[in-house]
Amino acid sequence: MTATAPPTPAEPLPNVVAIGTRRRTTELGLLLLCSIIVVGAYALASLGRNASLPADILPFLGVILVLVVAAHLAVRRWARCSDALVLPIVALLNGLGFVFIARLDDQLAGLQATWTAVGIAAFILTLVLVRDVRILQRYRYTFGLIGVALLLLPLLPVFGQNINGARIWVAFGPVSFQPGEFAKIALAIFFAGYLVERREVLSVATFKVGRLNTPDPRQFGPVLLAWGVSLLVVIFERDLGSALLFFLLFLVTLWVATGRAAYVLIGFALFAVGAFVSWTQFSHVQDRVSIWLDPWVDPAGTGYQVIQAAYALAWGGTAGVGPGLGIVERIPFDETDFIVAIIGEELGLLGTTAVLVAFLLLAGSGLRIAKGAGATFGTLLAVGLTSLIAFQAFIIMAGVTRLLPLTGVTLPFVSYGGSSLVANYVLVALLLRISDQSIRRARNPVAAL
Amino acid sequence: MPEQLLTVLKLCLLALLYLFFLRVLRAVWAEVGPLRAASAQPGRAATLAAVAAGPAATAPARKGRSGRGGGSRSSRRQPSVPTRLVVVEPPARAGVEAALAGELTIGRAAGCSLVFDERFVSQVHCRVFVRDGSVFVEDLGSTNGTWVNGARVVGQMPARLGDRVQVGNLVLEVR
Repeated sequence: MTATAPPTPAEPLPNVVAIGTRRRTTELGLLLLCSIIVVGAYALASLGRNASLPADILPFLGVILVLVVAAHLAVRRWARCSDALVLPIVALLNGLGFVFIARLDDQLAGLQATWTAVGIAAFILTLVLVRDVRILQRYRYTFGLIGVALLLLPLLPVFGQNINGARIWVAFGPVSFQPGEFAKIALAIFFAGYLVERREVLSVATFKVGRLNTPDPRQFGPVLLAWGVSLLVVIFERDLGSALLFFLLFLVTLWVATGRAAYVLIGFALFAVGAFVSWTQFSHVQDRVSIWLDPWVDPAGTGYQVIQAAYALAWGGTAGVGPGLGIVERIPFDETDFIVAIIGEELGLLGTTAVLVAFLLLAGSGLRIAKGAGATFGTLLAVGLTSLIAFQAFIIMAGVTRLLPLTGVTLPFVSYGGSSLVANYVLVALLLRISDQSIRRARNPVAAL
Repeated sequence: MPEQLLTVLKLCLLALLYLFFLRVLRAVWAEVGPLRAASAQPGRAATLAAVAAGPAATAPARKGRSGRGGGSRSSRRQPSVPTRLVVVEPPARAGVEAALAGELTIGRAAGCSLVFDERFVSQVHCRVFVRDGSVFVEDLGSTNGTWVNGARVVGQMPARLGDRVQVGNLVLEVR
């Protein structure tokens, strides 16, 4: 331990330690503030509903603190230099979502609490297992196959289950889950790993079609295949929201890898064609579009959900009617797809804006992580993972507010749903790992490479 | 429970929510904002400067297409179109050069335009060709691969002025 000795990889430089310590202090402060907000909202929802404080408020506070501190200590131990803001924002979204689920349905609240604990365990496990994000790059084709296999799983006759018109569930005995939620992470890893080594080839025109120069089409093969298979599968499973999500993931990763805006333009042209063709071919797409254009054609039937969501948002006004004071069971699937309408009713425009701001800050943190990772696999993966969360939040909130046709995906971290919660915690752990690694590499190039 | 009290509590909750976002924004500002506290906390300022320098240092590499080779081009005042392929490694063969025009094949076989009888060079290893003023490298199924600036050549890889093409144990520079 002499002052002149160069630090070994096991001993990070002093400025790395300083950054890590400062970030973790910020994180802990924000997590405590977030716990206070969530417990306050929980108490207030109970006051509104039963005019009494919830009996389990102290155990509730205890459980929140245990979960939050466990996640924080895991980050402190295994990803010390990672971004300080991601975990508190995620905890806030998850906590607020839980408060509203608990206010709607006690039984679901118990399940959601269990899934949150499983999610945080998965978060910690991911941080422990994935010590270097480049390990994922090495297994990119494996992840591509896993992603497609997970997407195909619900189509199997025995395990696959049709729930609410979409065949996206898989049941193994008592446990059922949505493999698509995990498939999206596997595909993000595959796209990032494949495109990072082909970025040069794909960004320069070497192939002539008539008078147009395009990159060699052979290079696109595997990506287009994976993307096409996932899209077809999702269309046959009637899960339009996920199809849109995969398409956006593919476009954004390709765009960032090559820096060519032409890919985005071509992509959107392809999307327009695809959307039109599926609108003419599939009745369930037509239904969604006609409900979107005019839900009042069948206000008690197909349009019911969307109309009730609009009423809920309108009833909420600016500051909402108050937690626990809204009309329960007005909207079918209010605890999953339509949870943002419940938040809008009880906390008003300010509450829904808070949810939007939280996702905006989360996306901003994700993109900052990507920018810091410096032209590597980590950049592309961080961009892909961030766009998954951001676009999923956008797709469902736009659906609830009738900006887009409604497609049933969960609002990440807020909606009720075990698979979604666990998968998104794994996703966040990967983001933190990328962030941690890029800080260490920038300070200590020898140790990182 | 009086309704007014509930309303006040609700507004407090919303205020707390936005306080949380303000604190998050402040934390972001502390990392990306201008270095106000430079004189007050020298140790912290140094790390912040290092944070700021980190992405900047990697930025040219990220630009990829436009950034690489551009710097050397403007500073050395060399012609912007690559014209020669010069051997830099191994030292025994350094200085051997070939004009870049049309197509060059590199390998051990006698039919190649550049014949190098070296251990890790395949019979017909790769080709380097010019199309529309740009240089491209394509591996021709060599055993040990072809590399441009340390990245393995996949398909037709562009090579720019100053790029190093590795063929087995040979390193050639595009000039």
